[in-house]
Amino acid sequence: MAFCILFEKKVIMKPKKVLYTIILLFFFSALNAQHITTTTIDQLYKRTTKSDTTFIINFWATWCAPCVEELPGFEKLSEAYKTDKIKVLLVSLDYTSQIEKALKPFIKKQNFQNEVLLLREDDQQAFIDKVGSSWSGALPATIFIRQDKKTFFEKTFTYVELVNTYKNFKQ
Amino acid sequence: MKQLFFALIAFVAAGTVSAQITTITPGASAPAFALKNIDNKTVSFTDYPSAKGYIVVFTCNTCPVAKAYEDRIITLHTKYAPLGFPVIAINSNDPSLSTGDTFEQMQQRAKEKNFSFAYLYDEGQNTTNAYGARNTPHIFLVRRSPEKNIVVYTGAIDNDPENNKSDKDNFLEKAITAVMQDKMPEPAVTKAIGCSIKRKGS
Repeated sequence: MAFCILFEKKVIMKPKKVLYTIILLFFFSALNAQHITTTTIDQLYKRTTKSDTTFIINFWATWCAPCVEELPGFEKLSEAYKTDKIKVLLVSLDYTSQIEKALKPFIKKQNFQNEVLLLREDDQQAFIDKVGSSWSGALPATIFIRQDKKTFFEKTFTYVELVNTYKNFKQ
Repeated sequence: MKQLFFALIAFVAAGTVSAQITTITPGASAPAFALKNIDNKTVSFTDYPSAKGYIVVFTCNTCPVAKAYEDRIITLHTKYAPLGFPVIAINSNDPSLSTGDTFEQMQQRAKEKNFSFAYLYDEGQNTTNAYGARNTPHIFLVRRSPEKNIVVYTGAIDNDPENNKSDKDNFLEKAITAVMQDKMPEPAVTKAIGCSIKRKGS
């Protein structure tokens, strides 16, 4: 009987171990595979055409303190207006060397509901002007786009300002 | 209706705050200033009698991009001050909004990094606003002439914030070389990603 129990235990333990191994493997592969989609400015703009959705594109970086402060406002906005045709894109301008060190852990911690993208543009001169000719390059910066209508902001938004700007824009 | 009115006010206010800050364009005269240096002495353009120009850098203690450029700013002063182009750094953040940018913290940072150039405290941000500096670090290269000081280049030091590009474009050094040869820099304006200046009332 004792042998039987032992045997049974052994049999029961084995699939559990396998299961744990599989879970662990999944966990680690998921960790390694934490994938951030990269984008160019042209690719961003392409998404906004042929759609009557209001796109709110926020440019930020983990090293930019006011950016990190205003990010929850964008999360709150898309949640509050989820029945609207609204799409918030959080576009990170973090440096390549900071993706593993800073960006990925930050995204994991924040668990953003909005889509997070990583900007891949080599020529700062060209892409800054593409975003807004009035943009100095200071972060944070945000554009509101719906079809042909585009408004650029070089500023930090409070949640109230964000809501008011959105309401104004969608009219 | 009331809501709409407030929304409109907020919208207009948001628009005007950024609209008030206009960056000086090359060709314009460089606003004069007299600001307190970290050694408590007042510094202005006239304190450099043998200068041919000035590398005015709007920077701060706290911005990671500005910090990434600190060593390059030190090198620029070492290299170009003897050639007549000293660095004059101005802290452009309001210390009540950015607590790491108080006068004492500026003194501390200058000591740590052994700044050999002036690092000025812009009380009330009048000079920062007069130049229309928008982000840190924001460079204004000034050419000195007997009549007046003229801004000849605005923008970035180079196109390589991480300092690891093999094909780096040294915008500012090229601009200084052009001025030394009595030419206008090309490009005269560049842009770079940086930290927004922490402005009072914005």
